[in-house]
Amino acid sequence: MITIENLQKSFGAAEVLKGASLEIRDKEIVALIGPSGDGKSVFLKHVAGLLQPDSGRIVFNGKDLCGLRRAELVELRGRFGFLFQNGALFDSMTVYDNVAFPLREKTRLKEKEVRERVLGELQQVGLEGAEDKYPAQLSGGMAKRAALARALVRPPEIMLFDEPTTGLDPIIVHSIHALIAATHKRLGFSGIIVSHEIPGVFAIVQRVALMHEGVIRFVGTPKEVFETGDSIVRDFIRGSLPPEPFRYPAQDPKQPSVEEHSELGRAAACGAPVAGMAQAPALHDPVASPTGVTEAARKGGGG
Amino acid sequence: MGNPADKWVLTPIRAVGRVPLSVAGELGRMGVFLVQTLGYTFTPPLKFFRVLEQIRFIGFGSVLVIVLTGAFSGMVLGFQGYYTLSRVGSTAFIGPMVALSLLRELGPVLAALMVTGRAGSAVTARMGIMRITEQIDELEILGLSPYRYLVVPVLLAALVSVPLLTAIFNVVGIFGGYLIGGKLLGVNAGTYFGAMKDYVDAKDVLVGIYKSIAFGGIIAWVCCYKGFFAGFGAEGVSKATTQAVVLSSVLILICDYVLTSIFF
Repeated sequence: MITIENLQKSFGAAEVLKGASLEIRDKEIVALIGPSGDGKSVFLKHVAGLLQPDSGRIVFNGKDLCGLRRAELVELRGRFGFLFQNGALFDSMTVYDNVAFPLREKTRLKEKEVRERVLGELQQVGLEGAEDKYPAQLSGGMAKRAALARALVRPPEIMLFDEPTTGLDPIIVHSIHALIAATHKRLGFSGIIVSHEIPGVFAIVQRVALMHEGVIRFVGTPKEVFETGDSIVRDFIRGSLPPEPFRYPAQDPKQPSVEEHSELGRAAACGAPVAGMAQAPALHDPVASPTGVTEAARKGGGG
Repeated sequence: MGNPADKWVLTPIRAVGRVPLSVAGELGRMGVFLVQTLGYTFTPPLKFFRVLEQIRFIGFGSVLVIVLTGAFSGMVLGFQGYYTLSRVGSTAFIGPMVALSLLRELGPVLAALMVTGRAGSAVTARMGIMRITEQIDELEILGLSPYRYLVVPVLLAALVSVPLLTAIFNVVGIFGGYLIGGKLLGVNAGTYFGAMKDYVDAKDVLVGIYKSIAFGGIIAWVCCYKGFFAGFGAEGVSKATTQAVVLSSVLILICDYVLTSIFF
């Protein structure tokens, strides 16, 4: 579907991409993970045609995006959707106008049809009743949903997500993941999702790619991520997983003070035995359940 | 690089050369930006309602500040003109003096500087915020040209609005001069306006209009460019806005000198 070959990009003296290659198959979503500052968002913007590589190729349905004329690139971009990290909603427009914008500008639909499509899409993302709000009046999760509705109102063939859950609380993260999975199932797009939500994001992707120092170091299924012998991948995954949760006995009369809480927390995180602290079962065991998918997530993800 | 000669000879030369290289690079980028903008200006479709929106913002929104500055500029010219001319016993020429000062120089320049401060800075800030919040990238993703959608309307609106605002500035300034020279200091209305008719040519008015069109183009070009390529974060937008206002103002004054020396 889309093949990225040996992408290289420097900004001044800083070499960000050093030959990154990745293949996205038809109707699959690939999670692009990796340390911050290693070029994931730059890679994604190249795929969207927002940046031009110093060298390398991005081939979409047999056409090299890097060699296209501007008019061809504009035409091709109509088949892409992009969810920016902060949503990139037009702040001078209401949610309704933001979602209607691509239809008004790029189609000849009548206003009645535009209204039907916009309200339908807002309903799909759970934003009924928020049409008249401005982006500044939305919470982070609502803004992401509105941006997703705008990206999907003209169904894309390729959907690119740039850290769609950054800065959101775990419940909203879960609901955004479920929404992405549901829209993927509904529209059947291919896509890349740049994310730090490990292992949460593994629930909604078919493959995982790890970018390390400007190259794609690993590509495999979510299960293979946990089984790889590559120490860099293993270290990154281990470092990204949430710490082992712990609980205090509910009836313990010697409940620790706030200061003791943090001390105990640090000790627990280091694996030291802590007196008076119950060993709670892990809420999430990535080895036992490599994708970290809960039943609820699967249900939500499915639609 | 370890050679001491490199350190003491080449390093200072590199440092000196970096400045003109950076200026040349910036001018080149500004030139490309202008050419691209003009390319989109003369190829359809034109975002007509966006142009009207910008005329409302740049033109109509600046009327009050233009009226105020025009009135007080004319009043100051009335005072200064009267007292200067009274030394040589020629207070009858205060009308032409105020009118020529405004039509040829002060009107176009001061109106353009006021539009730069009020609307140009806002254009840069808005475009800069759109850049750092990726709204400009979003336009590209949607297959819309940010030049066509954001820059061309500002350019056309400035080319229409600045000459009109300059005309308002001139008219209000001339009446401001009359308020002081005529009503306060006693110059006859017939003398004030009659002498003006004798000494002001169509060329004076036309050159003022040509200048204001050029200044409108400079404001749109510089302010859009600086906003379009604003740096990161609030500091980047703040820096871009300051640079836009300073560079526009300097270019307006340089352009004024060049046009004056060509036309007069």
